[in-house]
Amino acid sequence: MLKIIKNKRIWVITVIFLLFFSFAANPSLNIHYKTLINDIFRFPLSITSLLLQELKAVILYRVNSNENLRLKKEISSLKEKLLKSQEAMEENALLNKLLSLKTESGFSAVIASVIGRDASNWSNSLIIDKGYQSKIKVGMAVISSDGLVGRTQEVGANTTRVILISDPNLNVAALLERSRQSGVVSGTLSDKLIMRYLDKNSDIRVGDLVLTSSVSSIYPKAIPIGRVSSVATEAGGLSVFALVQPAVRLTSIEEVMVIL
Amino acid sequence: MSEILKRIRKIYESFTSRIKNWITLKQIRPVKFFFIFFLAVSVCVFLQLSFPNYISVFRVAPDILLVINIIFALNLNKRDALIIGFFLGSIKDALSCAVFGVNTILFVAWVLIIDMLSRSLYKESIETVLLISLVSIATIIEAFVMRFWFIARGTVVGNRIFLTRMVLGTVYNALIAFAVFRFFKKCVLKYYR
Repeated sequence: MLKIIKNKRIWVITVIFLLFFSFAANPSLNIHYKTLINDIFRFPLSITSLLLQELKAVILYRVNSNENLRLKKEISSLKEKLLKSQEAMEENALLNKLLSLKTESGFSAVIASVIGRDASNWSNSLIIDKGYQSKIKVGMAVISSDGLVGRTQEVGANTTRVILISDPNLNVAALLERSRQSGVVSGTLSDKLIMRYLDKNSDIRVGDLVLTSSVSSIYPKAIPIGRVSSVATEAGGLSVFALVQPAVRLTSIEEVMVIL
Repeated sequence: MSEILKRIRKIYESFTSRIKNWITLKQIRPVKFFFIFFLAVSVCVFLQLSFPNYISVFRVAPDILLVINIIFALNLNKRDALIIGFFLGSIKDALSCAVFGVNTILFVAWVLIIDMLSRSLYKESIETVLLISLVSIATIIEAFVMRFWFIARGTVVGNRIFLTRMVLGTVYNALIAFAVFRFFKKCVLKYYR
């Protein structure tokens, strides 16, 4: 016993472990370390992702060229629709003014590029090339043109880690567009999401659109999350759950929008 | 004024003599190893962060950092391997969304276990088999640790997804371990003293 007490090495190891545990248990300390590492890797990661994107563009030249033609046609038809909708909006604003209703202001956003992915197979996240210098804060919603991507988790000066909706640790209040049935969407680590806490008698069909709910203060309401791909009863038989195909292809996403 | 200059000169001379004593000829080889090691680890980190989309199978990517940690634990002395294990584990913790500290502890634990095992098991003729077995066991144990962590947090991960990730991850890591080991043996470990 006395030998153990006198052994310097044991004391040093104990002190190192105690210091490490206190460091690991303190989120404010380890987040500084995490964001510092992310910021260090930012520049080389940005270059790597840029090179990869260029390489991909060269390889998929013909596909991109065809898509470009298709998009040009789509833009011209959308321009016509936009003109019509602008007219409708002006009319709507006028009517709102007459009824003295308050209109919801649009949200501002920051566009960022994805420069890195998660180093572990047991969590799903992204690293984007914008941080608090671009006014990004922890807990902000991240979307793409197709729908919800996730939420900001660790914010550095020029990088931010975004936890994806496919991560099991992220829960989002959601509702079904058709039946307005509400539930909670979580990640499963697979290519599907799970919508839980749905009433046993609720009206859910395969193909129903799942949107963010106004219950959550983090996510703007009515952002598409995905579509129901299957419905099953929970083990206890008290409620049902739905598997949801995400609206966004999370594995190939390259640009996102952080809602400020 | 001249006194200040003399003092500065004295400090400079003592500093340069210290550096000269510090980097002796014997230490040039480790410095070269350190540089090459740093470069190789950086390449592995970039591969781990930039390429999972391109190299993942059923959304399971190989864990290159775990593989190189085990390679170093098998080939370096205990002290060096422990320092590198701690460094690699903390880098992996910083670059993932999972709980901070788990990988650092696991990586250091692997170095200690491999150090104990290699005294009785290690033979050059079976080093590749030993490496692949250790990488497979480490991946399976990491999967169970993460599973317990999810349960402790009340997060649901289905049995099928867990098993698929564990099995695919084990096979993939074992395959990658073979290729990475060949590379490290030829390009990095030969500079180790």
